[in-house]
Amino acid sequence: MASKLERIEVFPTELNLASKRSKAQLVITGWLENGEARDLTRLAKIVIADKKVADLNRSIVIPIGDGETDILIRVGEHSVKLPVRVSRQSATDPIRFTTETLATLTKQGCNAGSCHGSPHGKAGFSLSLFGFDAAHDELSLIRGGLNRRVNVLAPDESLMLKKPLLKVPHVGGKKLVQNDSAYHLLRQWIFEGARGVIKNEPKFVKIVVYPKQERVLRAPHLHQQLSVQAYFDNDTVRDVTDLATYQTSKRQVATVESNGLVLGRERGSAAIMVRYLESLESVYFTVVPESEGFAWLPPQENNGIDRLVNDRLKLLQIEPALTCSDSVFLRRVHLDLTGLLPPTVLVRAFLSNDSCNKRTKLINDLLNSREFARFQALQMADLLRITPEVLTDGRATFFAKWIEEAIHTNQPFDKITRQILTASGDSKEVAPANYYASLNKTENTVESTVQIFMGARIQCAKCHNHPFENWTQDDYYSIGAVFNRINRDKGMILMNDSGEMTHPRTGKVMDPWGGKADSADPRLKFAEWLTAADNPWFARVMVNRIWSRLMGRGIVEPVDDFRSSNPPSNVPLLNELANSFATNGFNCKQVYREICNSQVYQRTTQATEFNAEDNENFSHARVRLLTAEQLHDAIGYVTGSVQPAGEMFRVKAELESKERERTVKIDTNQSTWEESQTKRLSKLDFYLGGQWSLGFYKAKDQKEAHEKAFIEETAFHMDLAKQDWQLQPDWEQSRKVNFPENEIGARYIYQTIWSRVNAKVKFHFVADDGVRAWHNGRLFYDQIQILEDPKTQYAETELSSGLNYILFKVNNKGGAFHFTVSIVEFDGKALESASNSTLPGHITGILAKPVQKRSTDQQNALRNYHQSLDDELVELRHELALDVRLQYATQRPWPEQTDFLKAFGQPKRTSPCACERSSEPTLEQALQLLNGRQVYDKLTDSNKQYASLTDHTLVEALYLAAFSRYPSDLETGKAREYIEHSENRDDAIRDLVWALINTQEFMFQH
Amino acid sequence: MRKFVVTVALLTGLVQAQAAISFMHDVAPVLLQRCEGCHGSKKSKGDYRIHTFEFLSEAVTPGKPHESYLYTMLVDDDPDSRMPQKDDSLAPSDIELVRQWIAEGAKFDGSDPKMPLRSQLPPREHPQSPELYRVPVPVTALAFSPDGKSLAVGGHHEVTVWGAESGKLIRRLKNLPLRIQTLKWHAGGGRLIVGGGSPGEYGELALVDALSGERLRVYDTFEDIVLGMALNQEGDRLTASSADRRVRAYDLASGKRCWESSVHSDWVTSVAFSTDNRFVVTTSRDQTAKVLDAETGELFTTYNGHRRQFGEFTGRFKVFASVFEPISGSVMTAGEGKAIRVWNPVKAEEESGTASDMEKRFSKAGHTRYIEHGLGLGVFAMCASKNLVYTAGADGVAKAFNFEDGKVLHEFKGHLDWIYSIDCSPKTSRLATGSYSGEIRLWDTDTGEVVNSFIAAPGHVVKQAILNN
Repeated sequence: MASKLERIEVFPTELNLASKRSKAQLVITGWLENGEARDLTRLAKIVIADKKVADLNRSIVIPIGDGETDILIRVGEHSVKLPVRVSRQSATDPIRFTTETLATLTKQGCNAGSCHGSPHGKAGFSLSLFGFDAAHDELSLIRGGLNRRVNVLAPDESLMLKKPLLKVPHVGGKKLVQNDSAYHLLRQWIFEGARGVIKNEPKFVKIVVYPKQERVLRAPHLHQQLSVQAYFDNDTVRDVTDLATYQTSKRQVATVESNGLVLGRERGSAAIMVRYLESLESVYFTVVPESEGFAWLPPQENNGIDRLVNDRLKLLQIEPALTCSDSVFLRRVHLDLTGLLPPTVLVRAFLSNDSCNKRTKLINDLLNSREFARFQALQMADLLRITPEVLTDGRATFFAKWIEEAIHTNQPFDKITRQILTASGDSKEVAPANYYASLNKTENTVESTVQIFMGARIQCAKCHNHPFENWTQDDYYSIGAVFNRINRDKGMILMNDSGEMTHPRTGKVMDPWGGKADSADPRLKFAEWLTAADNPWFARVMVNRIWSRLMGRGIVEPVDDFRSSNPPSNVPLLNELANSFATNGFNCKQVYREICNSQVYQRTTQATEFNAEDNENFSHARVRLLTAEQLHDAIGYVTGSVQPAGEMFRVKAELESKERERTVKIDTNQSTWEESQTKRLSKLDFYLGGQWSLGFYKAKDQKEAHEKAFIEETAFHMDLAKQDWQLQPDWEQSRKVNFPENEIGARYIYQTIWSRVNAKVKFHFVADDGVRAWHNGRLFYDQIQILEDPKTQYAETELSSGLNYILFKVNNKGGAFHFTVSIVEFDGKALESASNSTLPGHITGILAKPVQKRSTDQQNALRNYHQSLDDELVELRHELALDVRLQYATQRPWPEQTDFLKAFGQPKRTSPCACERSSEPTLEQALQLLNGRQVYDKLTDSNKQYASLTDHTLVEALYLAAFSRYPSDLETGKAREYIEHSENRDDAIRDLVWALINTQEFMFQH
Repeated sequence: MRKFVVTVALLTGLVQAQAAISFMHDVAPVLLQRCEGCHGSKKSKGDYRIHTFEFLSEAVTPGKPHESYLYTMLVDDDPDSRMPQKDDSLAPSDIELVRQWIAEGAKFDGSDPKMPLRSQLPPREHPQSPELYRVPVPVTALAFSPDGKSLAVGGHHEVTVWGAESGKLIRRLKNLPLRIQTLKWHAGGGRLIVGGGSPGEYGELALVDALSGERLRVYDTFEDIVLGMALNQEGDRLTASSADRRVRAYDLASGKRCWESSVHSDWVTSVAFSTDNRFVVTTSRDQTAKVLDAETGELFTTYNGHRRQFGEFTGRFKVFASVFEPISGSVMTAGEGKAIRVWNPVKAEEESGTASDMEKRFSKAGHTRYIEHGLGLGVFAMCASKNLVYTAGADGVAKAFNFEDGKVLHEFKGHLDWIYSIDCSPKTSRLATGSYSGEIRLWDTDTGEVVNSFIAAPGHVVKQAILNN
């Protein structure tokens, strides 16, 4: 670069070497006129004025004797003077166990998770992971293991040195070199007595890494020296550059030596993670190697997104791609927003449209469509793990519909999130409460919530401080305290008044994250904190998810792995998207709109010499395999086995009108049907009304249960509407009444019997405990406890002609049991079956009433029953209930788990991780496409869709459906030739469809 | 006799430099040190192992070094494929030894090509101990002489003998292994049996003249340090255990090895002969104690009372020490955990079983008695005398318990560091304890009072003896 050096800067700005063992890594930075920095540490001339005070080891200052001097640093005409103070050179300074010995073991990898830091150690020798438990390590190293690891009198005989030096066989390999500083430190520590933690040892507070801000490493200056300083609670600072450990996030882009020298490799960005004890800091680097022949040509920019992406591309010297064609754009945006291929009608219209804002208009149309809401709901449902196996009784549908509606009406995302995170109540009635209903434990709730809404994987912190991130065990359990009071009782989400979260290691009661709650519900404060505009994760995680859905890769990737050691590929872009999301009231559709309208989104997938290798800076679009559901629907659409998306509503409307017509027709016969049934019934000796139940009424003991009148028991007949009488149609066959276990109390069972004549009737029933029975308000059976075994009882009463009202009261003193009742004798004759009517009891019951005495509900019940007798109407209603959209995998909240969908990476929804959806190509996928059952079945009928067309229009229709473009002349020619030369035209069409869906152009999104 | 010849050969090694290369003396030690980590019994990179001669010789063509993979890999030009990988190359002189040995026909001069080479290495010659100790060494072994007047203490490459009452250094028996882990007087005080070694690489069991310090016999060498040793009641049978997981027994007079047992899966920390000489009990870091037939070394039973899931004192504990009760035939074992286990080998065998409810049966009907010792970090060593057992613990306290009722008789407090070793002298009613800090304390077993204390390190200032107050 031609930019001139403006000034130089040295770090640290002052030096105070107060121990024999102290030292200081200098980092010399040159600032160029264009604002970029360059590492000059190894180029600068460094001169120490008084060598009796201090000296240099390359760029490291080491103390020699007490006193003061200056270091003069010079680069060209620029120079800086750095004062040095050296003291306490004759005082002893023993090695400190935690901050030096353990830090060295960490640096050499001894206490890594795969070595002695694993939970049970290795080969009988256990250290704590990265030295977080100094007491454990002290025991293990010094006195433990029968004191075999250190030898103070003869340090070189110490096993802890001989093993890593490979002087004694060591399965872990060579981990120490005899001449490096790590070896000298460990040996010296042993020599000094192998002492553990000493009282009053200064406590480590934090590290400061220089440089802190992102640096650009531009060829030929592809290096940067780091300096790491540790701050202690006695206000001392030590240079720990050689004790800290370094790790790169991307080896191809930048590597780092053990002395903190970063080396730039290939173009791109990387984070260098610096660890010292429990502190972690990341420094970001952008590496720009030489790019011969590259010239920046300002590309077209549609909005702010383009500007921010292009800034980055310009810096990295990557060429932005051109804008894609209308066909490609249409197919891409349609798939991204709705999950579906664009219908051919739309393709034709769009391609022939000359308007210059047609792309913007299309984007708006799609964002307003139901398909958009459904497809986004599907993706949201993946994360929230909505499955009918867990959320039973229709709750999965209920929750999914709620989300779909929220997306369709574009509810602010912070509001949706708050509703989910603070939901309480019955999950059958409160849709968002199903989030908690699907998570069975506090731990799961913590991990899911953090991963979904904060984009972080906090699982590690459950057992120990996170090894690669600043998440600590404290954090984990303080978030746990937010959710620990949730009471999940059979789908009811309630908050307990108490339920403290204690830290498993310290036993401390944790304050909930987000602040101690005023009310009993700490979720409120947490949700408020999380969804605040300035929350560091919330907005960024969501915009990154949207970005990833549209671009095929997140700015942070993986999208749920936000951590300082996994930097965004474009920091300003992510910040800007998040800021505008937060300031625009968390308007999701607006984010989609902005991104889709950008030139960046509309770039071609065609790579050039100067952007082919770029994978993360969005210089060109990514070729992506359609997701499982998209592919399923696309094949369905092209083969004609599902209705085209636009057709869905037409088909539904048609079904609805047919259903209406049929209903009217059936209803005209209603009165005729009722009369005939009444007539039929009147010929019977007797018939039964429906069985109704009321209760359960709790009592303190059996006596109370039996004797206390919980309702007006002697009332002649019950007003079924007034109390909570429940019709029990299921009981009609078996007449079974279930009693729950451990419930003491009573339940009523009520039934009408119509009799033609006055006649004796005999009931037979089975009960564990006691029963009372009334006929028209008269008690005719009363037994507090049936003692006979088997516990079958008979009771008789005299029915009068017309309607009779029977009431049973069954008590329960504890255990679970069934009550069954049936009529076994009528007018002295034994009955073979319990009922003699073909109609359900409650219908019979209504029919027994005079027409004018039937309530509206009862009239409706008769009407519905009559309608249900018509097969055609039942069929129509069934189809309507199925809902045509359910044929589309992308339009359902939980697509069925077929082999085909699973092969293409459909997630099982057992984890909140975005990684559950696999995008890895597999052999299974090829087999599914080439001759899988699903594809075969769909192909079988595909000729029907196209057979009626001429060869020419047929080929055109196929291409428009499959690729959203017209075929070229060559393609049309070849296809027509194939059809013409085949013996069987239907087979030829099928072959053609099969061939098209097996092309890369079809399977991939371009 | 062979051992003696070997020793002479070693001493005269320099003189014979031009003579034929010995595999066991010259080649094996180098290869074991530099190669065994990756090519041994635990790891076998490239499917090649050198821990026995049989395996090692797979890559050797006798007489032709340049056709022997073992040699060519050592001198490969490519630093990535040269062995040892990711490590410095062998010293040129060592490479030359390997070359010459192969050129001379690659002859094996060990005892068994199928046995681990490490267990066949000749005894090492040990370096000199320092005249003055810069710092004390932890006292990992100590033993009263039969008359109770002197105390043998494990030092650095030596055993030091001290006047028990005076705390004065009497004698230094040098040229012994780096660490001494176990000591026993023998032949009325004329000899010492010494077990020790270098952790992770070498173990040695030797007979030493208690006056001259001459190493009269090396019974055996081990692959790791020797941790335990015991003599039978008659004093004609010796048994020793090692961190290499082996237990071996010898005829004391002839030095002949009688049997070897490898039934433990971790360090064997102690051994003890039963009072009737029928059994050898061993304890291990693998959380078990085993009972072996003293005649044959065969496993009689395994005692699992240190890893219980049911009942009292549950947990999984490493076992460090064992001692037989002189009268009843019961054994006491202890280690980590809160209690000493008192149990009988025969009853333990009867209660042993493979049924899944064994643990449950054990917790209900087990005959084991538990003596809660109240030593926080466990017990490292024990000794018994009359009806008392003495324990040494990591929290620096030794205790005397009555065998029958488990009651504490005395607590010996005063050490400021972990106690690793303990011995008692019934004759003089003295107890000696040795700690990590190198301090030895002498106690009166009748009163529980400390009699004397000193640092067992030559050259260290000996503390003023405290004699009867």
